[in-house]
Parts: sequence; C-alpha cells; structure tokens
Amino acid sequence: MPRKSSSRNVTQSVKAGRLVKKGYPRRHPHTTAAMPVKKQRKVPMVKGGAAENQARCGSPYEVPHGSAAPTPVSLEGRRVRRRRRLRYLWCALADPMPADPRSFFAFASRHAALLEALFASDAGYTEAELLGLIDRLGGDDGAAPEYVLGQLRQLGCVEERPGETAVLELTQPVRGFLEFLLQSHRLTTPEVVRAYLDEIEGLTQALVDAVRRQHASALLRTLSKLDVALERVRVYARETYGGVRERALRLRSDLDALPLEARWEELMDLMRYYVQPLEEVIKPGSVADRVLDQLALQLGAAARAVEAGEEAAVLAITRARLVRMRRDVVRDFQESLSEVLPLLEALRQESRLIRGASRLLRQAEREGVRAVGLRERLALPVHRTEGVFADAALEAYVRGLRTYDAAGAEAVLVEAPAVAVAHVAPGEALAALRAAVPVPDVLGWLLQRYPDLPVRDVLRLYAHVLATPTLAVAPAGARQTWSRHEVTLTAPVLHVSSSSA
Amino acid sequence: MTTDFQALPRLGEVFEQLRRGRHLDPEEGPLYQALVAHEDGFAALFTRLGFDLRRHARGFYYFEGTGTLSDTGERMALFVLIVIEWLADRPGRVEEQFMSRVFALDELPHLQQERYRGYLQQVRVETPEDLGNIVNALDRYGFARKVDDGRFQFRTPAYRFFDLCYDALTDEEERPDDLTP
Repeated sequence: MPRKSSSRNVTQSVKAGRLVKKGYPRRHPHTTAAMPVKKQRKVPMVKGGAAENQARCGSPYEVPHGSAAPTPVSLEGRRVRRRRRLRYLWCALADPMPADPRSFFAFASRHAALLEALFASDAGYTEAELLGLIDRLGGDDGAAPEYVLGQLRQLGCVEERPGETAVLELTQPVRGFLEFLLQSHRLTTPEVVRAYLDEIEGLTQALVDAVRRQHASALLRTLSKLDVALERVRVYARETYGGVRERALRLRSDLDALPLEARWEELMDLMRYYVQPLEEVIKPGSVADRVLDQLALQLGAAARAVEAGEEAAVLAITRARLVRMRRDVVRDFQESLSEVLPLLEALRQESRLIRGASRLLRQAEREGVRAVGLRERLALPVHRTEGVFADAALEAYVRGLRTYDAAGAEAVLVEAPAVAVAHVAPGEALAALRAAVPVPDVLGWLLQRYPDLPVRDVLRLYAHVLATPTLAVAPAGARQTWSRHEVTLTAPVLHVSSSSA
Repeated sequence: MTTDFQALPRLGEVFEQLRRGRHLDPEEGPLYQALVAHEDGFAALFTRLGFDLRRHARGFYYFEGTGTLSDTGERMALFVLIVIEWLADRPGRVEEQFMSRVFALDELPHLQQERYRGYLQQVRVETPEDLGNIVNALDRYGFARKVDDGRFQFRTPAYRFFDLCYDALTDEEERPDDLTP
C-alpha cells in the first residue's frame, strides 16, 4: 500500500536523523507574531527506537482556534508545514511497539488527567478532538499535542475504534488497568456468577477425585484453582457492591435530570441484574448455596483424609477462603441493599402518588368529575359570607358582647308601684273610698288611686261615687283642672266627708 | 376537662380563618403558634361549637367540613391532580418539584391538552381567568401562595391533595411485589 510504503520511508528518514531536531511551536510557526503564543513547549527526547522520533510530530492540519481569516504563508512556512505533515504521517501510521513499563508509567504520571478523560469517554474522540483535549489538559512536560498523541499511540494507549477509523479510543488493556486504578466497579451479572459457580462445582468434583486417588499434586493444583475461583467471586461481589453504590449515587444526583419512569427503570435494572445475583449466592437453598455447601463438605472430608503436611496447610487456607468469601458476599449484598432500598422506597412512594392522581383522573374521564367525589374527599367547609357583619360599629358592639361576663340580676329599688289595673269594679273603688274618708277631692283621689286606668273608666267610677247615696258628697270649692294621658278634665271639687254602710 | 376559653390567644382570628376553610401552617406565624400552644383548648372549644379541628401529620391545622361542602374544593383538587400527573413526565422528583417550584400559569398543561381541558370543562373552568381564580382559591385556603399575578407556589397544606392520591389506591394496588411505576 502506498501509505504504508510512505510510512516506512518516513520512518527510515526519521531514523536517519534527517528531520529537524528542534521542537516546533504549537501551531502555525509562521504566524506567531499575530497569535497569542503560549509557552514554547519543549519536545523531550526519548531514547531509542521509533519513540525518539515521535518527539517531532505535529499535525499539519491543525487550525488555530479562533482564527478567522487565512494567514499568508511564506515559502519557509510551507517547508515547515510539509516537514510537519511527514512527521505526522509517521506518527499516525507507525505500529505501536510493546510498551516499556517505565515509559508507560512515566507518561501516565505526566498525563494522568488525559488518561482519565479518555477513560471517561465512551464515545471516543476524533483526532482533532483528541488534540484539542490534549491541548486543554496539557501535561507536566509541556509537550506539543501532536507529540503526546504520538506517544499515546506508541505506548498502545489508544487505537482506532473498529468500524470508525476516524475515532480513537482507549485500548482494552489500558482501560482495564485504569478501571482497577480508578476503582471503576464492574457489575457482576448473573451470567458471570453462574460461570464461577460452574467452575467451582467442577473443581469440587476434581477435589473429590484427587482425594479418592490420594493424588497430592492433583489435590494441590485443584486447591490452587479453587483459591483463585473463590477469590474471584469475593472480588466480584465487592466490585458489584462498589458498582451498585456508584450507580446509586449517580441516580441520586440524577434525580433532577430524569423523569420518574427512567429512574425507576434504572433502579429496577440495578436490582434485577446486580443485586439479585448477589442474593442468589447467599440465599439458603439456592443453586449457589448448594454448590458452596457441597464444596465446604468436600473440603472438610479432604481435611480429614489429609491430616498433615503441605496439603493439609493448603486445605486449611482454602477452607478459610471459602468462609471469608461467603461472609464477604453477605456483607456486600447487605450493603448493596442499603444503598438501593431507600431509593426504591422513595420511588415507590412517588409512584403511589402518581398512580393515585392518574387513577382519580381516569375515573373522572370515565364517570365524570362529580362521581370521583373530590369535594367530599377534601371536605372543605363552605365560606359563608352572609354571616359576616357589614356594619363595623355593630360588629364591634357584638364582638364586645362576647367578652361580657354575665352576673346575677340586680334588684331594682323603686317605690311600690301604683296598682296597675286593667279593670276596676265600682264596688271595689267604693270600698277603697270608704276606707279613705274623709276625701277632700274625689276626682283627684280616683286619678291618683288608679293611675293606669283609662280616663273613661275613671270617670265611670267618679259617676258611680256621686250616685252612691251612702256617701256624703258635697262641693268643696271652685272648679279645678286635672290632666291624664293628654286629656284635661275640669270640674268642681267634691268632698266626701263620711260614709254610711 | 375545664378550659378557660377566654385565655385562648387570638381566638377570634384563628376561628375566623379556620371557619373560612383556611389551613394554618407555620407560615401563618402567630396564629399557628397560638394553635400549637393551646391545641387542646382550641379543639375543645371548636368541638362544642360544632367544628372539627384536625391536625395533619405534616403539622398544619384545618377544619374538616361537614354538611354543605365547598365546590371550590373540587376544582382545586382537579387542578392539583393535573399538576401532579404533568410533573411525573418531567425531570426531577415529583414531590420536590411540586413543593419547591414556582409555577407559571401559562406553562401549565391544563388548558393546553385536550384531556385536561375535558376534565376542567366539567367544573366550568375554561379560560386562563378561571385558572387564575383557582389559584386565588388555593391561596385563600392556604394551599398555595401567589408569587405574582401569573405565578404561584404550593405550601405545606397542599399535602392534603397527596392524601387524596394515596387514598385512591386500593390495598390490592399496593401489594409489596408491585414494582411497576
């Protein structure tokens, strides 16, 4: 292929030392006067092999950020750009060499942030994006982005994503290593647990065979494999707990970003696919429980068969590993539950609220709003405005009455009232008059004696007195005037001196 | 129990507010404090007067209506049920959004979605002004506070509408193994 051939040529040229040995400015060296230039990054020399030559790589396609108009390019500029293009091609096409651990760790220590960013990206980066990322995150050594990209390739950190030649991503070995370093927990799936259980079941059978045959080396090999399998289950349980915790934390922080249904689905996934497999391992009577019980049984039998020696010591360790593994899985399961259950309860409560609201609305749709009985369910009292005083003075008076402390009724001290009579019999009046003689003024006496009696009744009594022969009535002086109820009476004064029954 | 009703502070104001259907929560300040401090005395007096003073688990007080009930309650409940269902499809926890968010009337779906319009027409709510009247009622009853003309925020007593939703579910619908949202 022409490109490959070109790559070799370039490589050879580089190896021959014909390329420029000085580092290059980050971008567009011919326009440095017009551009704000960051610090000149040095290009470290890497001893030996092709890595040495990548130090001079730089992308010829790089476009300065924020440059609006094309810049005039001088002849010297074109030469420089051509050289950079050649170096860049070398960097892009050179096969990655097996990384020297020291080079890798030295690079990782300088570009830890870059590696973390690559690790965090699931979609990978285009080359331009990656150069931009390198430029942003920089490194302790101040190397040019093109050089750093070359190192990433050379150390086997990045590769092209299958099917997307323009996209670079972390290689799987480096990703796995970073997962370990960054404690990014992989979740254990039921399939993974099942595979481990199958392996342990097979090894248990191998253990039985080795003991039956009294084959020491086979026994030790089997125990060694069992140790590894048990530790894997333990580590995976721990990682699963870590993963559950991480996802639960993310879920909590995403509460404001996701609708209920999405949160619910994510939580259910977590429960079904990750927490429940852990439960499977510890649940009494489960397949896992039976497999591990069987292993414990056979390890016990083996311990009785092998009483001493190296095999006995290794057996004791394997038995201890089994106990520890089961104990740790229980702990991890419980801790996973403690992460998930509060979220589950909160979501369940939220779900009840929404289901209840939807149920009432559906009922309103089917049967009408009135049939739902919202008024009765809420039972708000009616606000009666007619009970409120419109007259402020009257309201104040009535409110004042509220504080009135009623005491016992007070006695009314007045003179004995005149006899209030609606009707007075003439005989009664005559009897009273006889008791009162001598009476100097008969009409005056009657008016005083019966103050509430209508005038006409008084006059009737007056006439009755005058017509009574047993009374000694005689004129006593000139005419006199009396008033009663807006009626004025004028008559001569009559005197009663005595009475004869 | 002997209670000196004369000693109940702010009796007139407390009674007047409760009688109008208002829910008294801590935001009511002195009225609420008076109720909290003399809850038994108030309850005894109101019971003698024929009123049923209730204290909600969330700490607010209200009169449970009997006999003739307010139609406004029905409109308010319908309004709030629609808000709850609408929030369920939006990012964030429903309860948190419901209680903390300032709602703008013109963002609500009540008159924008046909289904909701159908519910509201049954209770004669058809225009933005009608919606505004419901918000006024929510404010009057202590379920919400108006921030300005077009915006409002729910208050703690609005949990009574949540109770309606929880009560609407039957025991069968709440079985523990029901994991569907």
